[in-house]
Amino acid sequence: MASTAAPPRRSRSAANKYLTMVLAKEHYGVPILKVQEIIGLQDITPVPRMPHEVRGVLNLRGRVIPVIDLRSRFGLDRGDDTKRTCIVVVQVKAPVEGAPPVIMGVVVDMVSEVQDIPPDQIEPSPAFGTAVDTAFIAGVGKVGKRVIMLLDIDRALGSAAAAAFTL
Amino acid sequence: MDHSAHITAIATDLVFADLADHATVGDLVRRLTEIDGPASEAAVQALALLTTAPGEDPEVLRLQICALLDQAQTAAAGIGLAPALDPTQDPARQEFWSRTPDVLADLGALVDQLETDPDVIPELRRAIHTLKGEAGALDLREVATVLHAAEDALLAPTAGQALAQPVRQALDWVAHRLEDDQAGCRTVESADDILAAIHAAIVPSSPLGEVLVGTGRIARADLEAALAAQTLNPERKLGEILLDAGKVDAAGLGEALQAQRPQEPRPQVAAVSVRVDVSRVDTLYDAVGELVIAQSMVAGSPEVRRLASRQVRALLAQVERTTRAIQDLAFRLRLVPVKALLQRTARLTRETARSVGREVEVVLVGEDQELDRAVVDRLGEPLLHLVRNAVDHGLETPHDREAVGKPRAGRITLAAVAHGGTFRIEVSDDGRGLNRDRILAKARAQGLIGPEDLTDEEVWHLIFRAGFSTAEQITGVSGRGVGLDAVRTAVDALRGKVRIDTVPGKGTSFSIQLPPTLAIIDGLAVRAAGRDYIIPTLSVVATARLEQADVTSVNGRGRLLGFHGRQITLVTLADLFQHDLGHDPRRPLVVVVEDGHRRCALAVDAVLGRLQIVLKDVGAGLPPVPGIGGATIAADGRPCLVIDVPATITLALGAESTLRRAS
Repeated sequence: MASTAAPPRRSRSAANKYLTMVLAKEHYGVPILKVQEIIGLQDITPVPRMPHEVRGVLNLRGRVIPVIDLRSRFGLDRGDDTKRTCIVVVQVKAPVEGAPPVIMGVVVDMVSEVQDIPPDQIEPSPAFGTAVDTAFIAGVGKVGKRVIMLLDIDRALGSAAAAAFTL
Repeated sequence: MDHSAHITAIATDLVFADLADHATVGDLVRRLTEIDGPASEAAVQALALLTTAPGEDPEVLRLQICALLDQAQTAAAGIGLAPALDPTQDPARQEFWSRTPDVLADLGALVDQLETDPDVIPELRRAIHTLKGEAGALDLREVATVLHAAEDALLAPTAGQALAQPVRQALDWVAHRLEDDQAGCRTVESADDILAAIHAAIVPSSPLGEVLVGTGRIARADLEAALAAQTLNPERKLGEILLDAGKVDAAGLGEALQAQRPQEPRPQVAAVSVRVDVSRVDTLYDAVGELVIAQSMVAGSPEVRRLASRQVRALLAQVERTTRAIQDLAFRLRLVPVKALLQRTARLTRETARSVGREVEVVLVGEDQELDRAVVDRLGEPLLHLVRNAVDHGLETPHDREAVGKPRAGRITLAAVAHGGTFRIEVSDDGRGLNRDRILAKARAQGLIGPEDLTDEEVWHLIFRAGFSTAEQITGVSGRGVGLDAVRTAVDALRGKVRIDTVPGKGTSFSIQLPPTLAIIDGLAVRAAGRDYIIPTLSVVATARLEQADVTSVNGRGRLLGFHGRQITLVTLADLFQHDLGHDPRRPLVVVVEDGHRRCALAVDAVLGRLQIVLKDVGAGLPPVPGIGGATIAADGRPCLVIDVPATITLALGAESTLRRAS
């Protein structure tokens, strides 16, 4: 019976995998289990009266999803889009318990690769010294000499919606 | 051979096959005959259609055959033979269980009512029938059988307690049985026992005697003697009396009892309908929407047009027709009849009337109309408020009615009317009508309005304002000033509008006009500062050239537009939405919109045309977007925002008053 079978191995190993990406020359990682897909930059319809960090909405196979500019969200300079700029579609925990996850797109400078970062290679987020509000950082991962800031995407984007509600 | 792959291949070819071409049809027929095993039944039917229905519309035929192939596919894949799920794990059953206690409670209330009011029989039967169907579909055969018996019991020519008792027994048994099922044990008596009890309760005793006489087991004189004995001792059963008197033996009596029992209810056949999660239907609808866009982009692509041969064009036309057919089917999946809603409202109307001492006759019109399930679910509350209002404020007391020469019982009509792509639900009464002077006086006294003069329509809509009530007496039903403003809120949320018609002394009619579905609305596409928006057509009063002569500046900042002799607030849509892009003021147009009682004029750069759109959420995860009610996917595949007219008017009027204060 499926109910008694062990969870698929994939999910156990996927738990340590992070999609790494670049934002203003710094490396960030998002748990791969949170990432639904990566799509190229495409036509985004701006939404009136929204904060600067909300780029607008786009059509993802018939679904309208909001797109957040991660640089603006993190208070970094909003750079010009390049050929490598892309949208990472993530599943953010719904603010309401039990509701299906909220699908959102985040604009990043580029995605680099999927990295395996075991828990023993992750340190708690530093209290200062990062460009980004540490509330959004779940920890700092080390891969060789590289430092990758691991994002708590639920907090980074979940609170985006609440914080943006300024009317 | 791999039948599944074989069938898939046939289905794929069928989509592009020319069904008028003999060679093609011959080939399909040959391949269909190769299918055997569990899939053969559907394949044979498909074969029959293909060879014997030449007069049919080929597209209809194609869809029918596709459906059959789909069945064949399912059979071949053995999906139909999948082992039954552990019942406690079956999510459909869990869903059923979680809902059923409430349903049973509602039914119980109806049964209580049944004792005094035989009018509820049809409603009760339908409700039991529905539950029975669901139980049957979930393969809960015993539950379905007992509910079937309860349904039969309602046909018995009895009334009051005698009628209600067996039904109540059946429902109690079902409740008990479901509890057992959930707890994974079996404490309830067997279905046979309860069925026997129900039958015993509904079948009058004489038929047993008739059976015995009819089969020659006893003489009529014996029966009459036994019946006479029974009248002296009503506790005793006829069979016992006959048995004791030695007129019949136990075996004969048993056979007669067996014969007397009406034909056993047939076991419910599963899969008359399937329950599908609404989100799946919506996902299907989204996917179909994408298909429509993709199809129109292919068909409209200049490259395809340049390259396409006659044959390709014909195929594309076929793809388009099929796509539209699928879209239509997907759309219909969302529709449910309004019958249940109207009937529930009718019952509540009667209850309300009883509780406030009115006599009422409820007339239902258009019960068979269908409406988006999401809309139906959200209409219950506003309708309830409207009928309460109609009963409590609209209808006069029976005494007053007689005094003015009306029948004692007031008439309330609940009507569902589909008209020209929109849908209307009306609640009308033949009561006293709205009193303009009293409403105005009350609204002024409550400070809702100033001393200005209002049109009739504006006066009627005052009753929808929060806190407004003209009922001199606060009854348990209405008059607390809540209710009608809830109607307004609910109708706004459905993007509908309310119209009021009233004639003093003759009655009042509230008409809720709705888009036919929440998902599809008729919209007017406009452009403002380079961006496109859709305004729901239902809220558009007029579009016109913006003539500067009609515009009055208020303190140099706010603007008013003269429209049909009245001054309405004029705002530029691009300013309202704070676009930083410059707009094109060369040929400005205005779109006058309304939300029932308020109007405003939106200046736009261009009106692009009317279209039907599929309305979607503007993306969960965003904060509420002021003035925007949703989004749709435009023909080019990009999202286009849909304006929420009531919120936009609030925004526009707010902007204007802010400007006034600022200056």
